[in-house]
Amino acid sequence: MKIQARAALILALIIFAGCGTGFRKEPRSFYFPLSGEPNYLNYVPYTSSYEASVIGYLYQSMQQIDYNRGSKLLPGLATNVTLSADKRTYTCYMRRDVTWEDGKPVTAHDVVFTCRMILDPKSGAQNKIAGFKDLAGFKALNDYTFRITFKVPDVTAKYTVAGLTPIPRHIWQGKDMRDKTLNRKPVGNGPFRLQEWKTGRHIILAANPRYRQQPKFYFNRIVYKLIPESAAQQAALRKGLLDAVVNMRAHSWLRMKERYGKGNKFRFFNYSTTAYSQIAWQGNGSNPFFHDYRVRQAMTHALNRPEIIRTLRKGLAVPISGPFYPTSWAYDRSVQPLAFDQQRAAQLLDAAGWKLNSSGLRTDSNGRPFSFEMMLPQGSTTGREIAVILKNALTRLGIRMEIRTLEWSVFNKRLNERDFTACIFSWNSTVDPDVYDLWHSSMRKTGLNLVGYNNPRVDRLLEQAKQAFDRNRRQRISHQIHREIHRDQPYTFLYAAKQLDVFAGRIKGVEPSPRGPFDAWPGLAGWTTAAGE
Amino acid sequence: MGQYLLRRLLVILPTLLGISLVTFIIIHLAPGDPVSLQYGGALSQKHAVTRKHIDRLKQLYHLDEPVLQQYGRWLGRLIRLDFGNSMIDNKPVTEKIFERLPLTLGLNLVSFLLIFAVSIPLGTKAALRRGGWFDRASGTAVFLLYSLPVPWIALMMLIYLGVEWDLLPIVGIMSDHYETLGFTGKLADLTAHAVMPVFCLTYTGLAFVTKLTRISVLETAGQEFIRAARARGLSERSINYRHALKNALIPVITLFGSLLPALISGSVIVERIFSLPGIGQLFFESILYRDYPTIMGLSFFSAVLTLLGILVADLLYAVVDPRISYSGGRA
Repeated sequence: MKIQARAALILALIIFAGCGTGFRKEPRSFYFPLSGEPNYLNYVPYTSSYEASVIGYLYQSMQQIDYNRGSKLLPGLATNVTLSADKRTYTCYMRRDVTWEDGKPVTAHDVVFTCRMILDPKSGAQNKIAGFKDLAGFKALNDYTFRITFKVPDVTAKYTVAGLTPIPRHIWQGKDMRDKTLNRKPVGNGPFRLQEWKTGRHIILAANPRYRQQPKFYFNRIVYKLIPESAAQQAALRKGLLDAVVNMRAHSWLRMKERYGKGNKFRFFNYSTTAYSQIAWQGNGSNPFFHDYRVRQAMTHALNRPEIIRTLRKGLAVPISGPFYPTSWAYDRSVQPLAFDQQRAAQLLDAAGWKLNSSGLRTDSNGRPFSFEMMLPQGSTTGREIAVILKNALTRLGIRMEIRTLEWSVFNKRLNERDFTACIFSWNSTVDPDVYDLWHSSMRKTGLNLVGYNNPRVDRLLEQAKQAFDRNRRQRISHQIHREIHRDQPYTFLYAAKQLDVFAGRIKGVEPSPRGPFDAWPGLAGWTTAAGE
Repeated sequence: MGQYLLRRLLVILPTLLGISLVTFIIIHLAPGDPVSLQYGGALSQKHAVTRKHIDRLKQLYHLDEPVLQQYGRWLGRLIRLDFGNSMIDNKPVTEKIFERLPLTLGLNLVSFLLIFAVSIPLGTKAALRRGGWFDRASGTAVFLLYSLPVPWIALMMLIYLGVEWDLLPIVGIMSDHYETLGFTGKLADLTAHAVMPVFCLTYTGLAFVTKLTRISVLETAGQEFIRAARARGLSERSINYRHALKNALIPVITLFGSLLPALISGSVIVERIFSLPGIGQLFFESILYRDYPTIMGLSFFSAVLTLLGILVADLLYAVVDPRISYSGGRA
């Protein structure tokens, strides 16, 4: 017994000693969680959002985008980008004083090399080639001038050009883009460089002494801690290990706000982003229900969306009526969401030929019952609750709905193969409101038009929008698209959930943007810590 | 004995082949594939790409071939002890596994030692006082622990011990400044980080070993050689610990069979909640992203250890129990 007691005492002392080494944040370091290990710190093969957040500080793109000022383009590697009269050719005039970490100059040849690598399927740059769909060619006119030409004028191409982020040709030429050794010691040109990478623990970036461009950063170190579980990230924030946790769930954000909202220990942000949620109705004729727009309208009328926003999202969401995110200039605010109206839903269903039979079920003229399956991705708790609410509402209308939850990869596969009757999910759209891939009839087989939407008027409008270089004209066309799609209800647009972030009280100057706080311009460069900390 | 060992080792080979074939087919039949997941993973509108590009990538990974042909390719590499490279980050699978092995191995080893150190005395004492208050209390206690869900306990510990009372560190297995510490500092740092995860890995395991020990001691206590020992006038203490317990532990050895594979199979829940980069998380992520080479590497590795564990347990029986022998004489 004595020995055990002594052992316990020693253990207690050891633990006490372990706690005694208290952690203090450094004033010029920013501490942020990563939910997964980056695979490639290289602009070409990276795929995940946590890789993007690190890469953004290691490399510079041609131009910077200010999402809070109407996606205005600001100088980056290129001081100036010009567009030809036929609106197909972009010429980028690059700075001559930017160097890679090893001192070699950043040139147009690096950009050419990077574009070639993106187009090579071996590189695994699949998430970047969408912007190169109508590419005609590109070349370096001289060491500091890069020219890229597209086959057709496209108003969104300027963002593809602005986002071009070269990697150093002299390092990567002839190498596999997924080379594990080179990707562990990236050579960049951004405001920070990789200082330390401990697998599974942390990634530390330090200020790059060769970076002399704007914007200047207050922080000289970014510490990324690998914390996969969101509950653990919040615990670490509360314990004082982190400076921010972004994209929290509504209930945890509210609980934290309730507790700390009054003090200055934490700052709370909630704001609209580019993401929105919807129920997609498969209207390609593979089922007898949803090819009729009256049936889809009935579905929207049957669902009490204001109640869903109030209870499930705790009011932290904005109702939407069409295919753009609500703060976009493309979104037509004059279009009100269809009202919650069970009677109207019943009338529409009657008109569409789905009549109540003697046993209280809706059938068509052949006696086929209205009974379908709602598909959900696993882990979407709100989606599940919405499905239950809809199921109850539809039961009252004489419609049977089964809910089926699928593992994410299976859900994704069935979505891509258009193998569903109805499903609930969210889009995270681009800031530029180009919805061609979602709604043009040519995108029904391979694009993102998952519900077989086919409206010749919308097709024509989408084609016009792509070539409308005048913002006002493009806005008018977008509003027309909004109204057409609202009438057809290919989706029941649910809401745009707000992004919920918490920052440590010491961080000052944070400004959110539709792409989150880090992509707001100047983002991290505009933040400081409270003096004296 | 040598011949027996050789025979057993020869049986292991076809068994492994069968296990790996079945695993390979199952994971390839599961819906979803790594290439399409990389494309549509985020369901972002930026990901609109042509099918042609996906098909070319599938060719690159030989995912367009029949499953059996792909299996042959995998087997061919295995003969050269090459498990291939991960489809997620292109690292060799063996490197990925060994990088994460020490953490999982260390935590599990400590937790196993604790389980045995607590459960065997507990089970023995309970058996010797069968029906008494200690027996009932310890039985209730271990079952109570067994029924507490790990995710809940882990989160409660994280929030109360980690944040509210600020007693223990919550992220990872070492502090940021670990490398700058002296030896005792490092030990203290590791111990403080390990307390919560080890507790979570340990407390559910107590019930099984305690109950197994208890039943086995009770069974042995009723046997004739114990009565003979008592008739010879040996002290109760000597009977219980020298004779009864020694024989009672034989069934516990069976557990060693499962010990080897269990040592490397990390707990996904504990590892995620305490941000520990162990095997459990690796397995979880590789399945999520359908990273075939890593899934195969991990399953093969644990299959080898399972078969070896069974073999070791069989050999240990012969060591502790003279009635069991693997020499050629007996059929």
